[in-house]
Amino acid sequence: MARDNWVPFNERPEWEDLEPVPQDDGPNPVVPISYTRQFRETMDYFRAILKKDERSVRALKLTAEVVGLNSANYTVWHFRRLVLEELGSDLEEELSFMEEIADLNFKNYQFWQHRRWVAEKRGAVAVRDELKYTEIVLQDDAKNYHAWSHRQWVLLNLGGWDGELDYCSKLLSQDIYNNSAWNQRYFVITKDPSRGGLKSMLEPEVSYTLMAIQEAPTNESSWRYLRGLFKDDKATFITRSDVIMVCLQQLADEQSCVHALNLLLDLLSIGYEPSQTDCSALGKALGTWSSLVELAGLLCTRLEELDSIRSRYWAWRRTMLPTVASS
Amino acid sequence: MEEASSSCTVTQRLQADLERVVGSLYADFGSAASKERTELLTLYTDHHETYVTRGLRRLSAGFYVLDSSRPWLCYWILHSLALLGRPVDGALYNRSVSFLKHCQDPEGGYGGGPGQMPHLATTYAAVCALVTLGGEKALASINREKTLQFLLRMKDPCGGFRVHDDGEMDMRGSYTALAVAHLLDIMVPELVVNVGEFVRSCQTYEGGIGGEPGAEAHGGYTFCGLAALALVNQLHVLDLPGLVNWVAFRQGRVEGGFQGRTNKLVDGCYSFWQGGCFQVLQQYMPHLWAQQNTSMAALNKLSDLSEQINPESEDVANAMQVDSREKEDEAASVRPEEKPLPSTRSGLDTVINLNPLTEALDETQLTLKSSKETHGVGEPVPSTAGDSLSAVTADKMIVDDGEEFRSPSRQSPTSKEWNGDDEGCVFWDSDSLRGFTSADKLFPMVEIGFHREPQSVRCVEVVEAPQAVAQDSGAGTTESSSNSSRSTVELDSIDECLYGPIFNSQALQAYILLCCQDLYGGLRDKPGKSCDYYHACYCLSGLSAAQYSTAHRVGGPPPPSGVLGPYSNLLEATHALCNVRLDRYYGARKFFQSS
Repeated sequence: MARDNWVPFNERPEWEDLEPVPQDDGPNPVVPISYTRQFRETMDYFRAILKKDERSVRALKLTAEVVGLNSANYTVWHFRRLVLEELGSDLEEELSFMEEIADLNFKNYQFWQHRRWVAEKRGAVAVRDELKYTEIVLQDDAKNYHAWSHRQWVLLNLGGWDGELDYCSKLLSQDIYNNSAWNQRYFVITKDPSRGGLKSMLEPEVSYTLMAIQEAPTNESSWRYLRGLFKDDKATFITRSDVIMVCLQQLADEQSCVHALNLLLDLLSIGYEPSQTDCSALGKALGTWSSLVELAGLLCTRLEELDSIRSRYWAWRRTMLPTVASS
Repeated sequence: MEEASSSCTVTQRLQADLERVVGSLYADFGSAASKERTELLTLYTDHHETYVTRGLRRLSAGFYVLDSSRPWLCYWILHSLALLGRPVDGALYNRSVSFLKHCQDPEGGYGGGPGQMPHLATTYAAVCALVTLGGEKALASINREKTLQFLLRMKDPCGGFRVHDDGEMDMRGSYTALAVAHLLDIMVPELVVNVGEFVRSCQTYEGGIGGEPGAEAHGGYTFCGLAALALVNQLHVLDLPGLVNWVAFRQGRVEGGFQGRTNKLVDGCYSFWQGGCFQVLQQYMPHLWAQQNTSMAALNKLSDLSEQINPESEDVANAMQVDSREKEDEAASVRPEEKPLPSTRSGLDTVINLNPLTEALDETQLTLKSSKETHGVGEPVPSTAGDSLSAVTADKMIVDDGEEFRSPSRQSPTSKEWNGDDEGCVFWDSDSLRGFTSADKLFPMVEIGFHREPQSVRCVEVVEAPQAVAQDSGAGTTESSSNSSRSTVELDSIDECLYGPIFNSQALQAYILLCCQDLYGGLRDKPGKSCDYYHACYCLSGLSAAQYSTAHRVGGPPPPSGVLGPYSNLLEATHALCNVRLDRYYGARKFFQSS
């Protein structure tokens, strides 16, 4: 970003001693960028500093200028870290610097990598700042990938788990379709050391998820989360009558509930055997069958019709059944 | 919370807005006269060429934000041109090679521009750009020994790769490092160590893969993870049925394009990142089969008890049936080692023995394959225009005189070896499309002309790797190949597509052609967004992947019904794992293997 008050380097006495190093693109380069004078000159001086490996106060200021011009320049960020180390700079100040340039950088790898470095240096005291900071970013862009990754890194490495599950619930109450929040929820229940792992979280999470499914049956996020809860315990999954019931409900209520059919198909594949009641509900929706393989075939065929954008996928699933159910 | 617009969530509102825009575009298409429809579905090849070439020559000051991604700009543009079948003139070729040389670090790897630190992503971009340019001058400019040292320097003991010194470690690092190692034929065992563990740790409960452990499943990282594992023959460490289910659900019912994550908007670039996953899976189908079968264990058991309908031999015949057109020749020419193993060996009723197709196939094999198809076994035939395009152009690849790197002039559809009598897509007749506003209704998967659906298939994976990798090989019996002394990992993809596309390749093409093209050249994320080189590259790569998904063998010509719009829309084929044009891939592999 060109600043109006930019002072050319040849008018800055503190840079007199330094010979700028021009960029060596070679003759007639491809993808040549028509740099502004400010961009070119600033980079020329940065190259000179880098060549000298000068880790000084003026070098630090210069890296700030370069980052202001092109915050995706990872070489500058890297060198800035070397200078910060050398000078033993105040990392609180570094955070304020990052606040200044933040706006345009929420989708920039270098920016977040630098922030991670600063947080790591600061240690546990950084937790509150970092959680708060990511919350601010997520307020405007609730699915910002970098912000979520940063937040996970902070939790894993520096702690701060206490309010995290509530935070997920809060975001999901605002937008139950926010898959990033669902993913974070899974992260918390499986990684928070104080919660004792998936097993001890299972019951409350299953009821939370089944409610979410009933609230918005077409929401893929909650259906995937439900599968995730039983990822490592398929034997339990197929015996959960509450899960089966929600699936069957969707067949009755909402003929088009693709996610319920998708789940039923997978449950059948791993050994679910429908009870008498289940069978009558399934029969009402799908017709008759004489074996479970045939039932699986009917599910595939129904999915081919209902979810026609994925008809090839469902047809393929059907051909993967032990014997192809005639349809 | 549902439906009522007053209580719509942000996700619902954004999705509804996009569906409205795309839906009205599709409604216009549906109500157009059928001749007009063909026009609407035309790829503006000339305009796209002009658009991307401009960037190669000059970029405005506004591009300062990409000043650390200049090898990427080279790759996006050169790869787009290559897919479009357009040559790069001699001067631009030389300028490109020279510029990329200035980005190469003396200690190995390529930086985002001259004098910048080497970075894995820009190293991948630079190497792919040079491979795409082809020819000795471009390929010999890469310092392979130093590049290997750089890759090894970036390798972390946990199995991941940092993208640069003190940089972030994520799935991009794994993919770009391994793709470079493969292309340059420097895949040493140290690079492969723990790669499987790292990628597996990033597969989420959803089925897709995230950037780092714990992160949300995402199309870009899913492709990177999947391709990275295919490059080192460790696909078995993933939950493939879960992955394919997740990717399949990323295709938008209304839009036909792909979203990057669950409940996000579709974006043209995911045509490749997600659509490309299908291209990989299609070529590694037996891996998927093996796992999908395991995941159906319960049903298999049931059927074993109750049903003994299919005699084994019939299943084998079905399973081996690759293509009705080629079936007889195939049957006559099954090599001894291709014979199915006895079922007792794996305890499964039908077995496909997957030969590790070392090097996937080089052009010698390709030629042999072609001769096998059209003539008897062992009867050598010279490559002719009737052979596959890849085979013909691959012959010309390794040259040095600055002339031959040009791609062949765009060939007419007939020279791309389609012998069917189908004149093209005849779906666009009548008014039957009027009133439809969604891709699933407007662009259903048409009959693609051949049946490759095997019944009840079982597979034996033959995994070849320089080290023990087989803790968890699923249903398949894992065999280690005898030549473990080799220093590089070979691919075991297949060259014949055992199954057609398992996504809607028509709808994907429709999204790219109708929603992502700018009339004046360039491609974009979605209607309303402006074009850029990144989206041009990945929309075209995705379009190519979608078109060739109906081909009978890798890189072979798809049937006319597989190409949406006029057949002249057909792009060149791209390598499923490295995303460089297929013939350029063969050229580079041959060059580096003999140097």
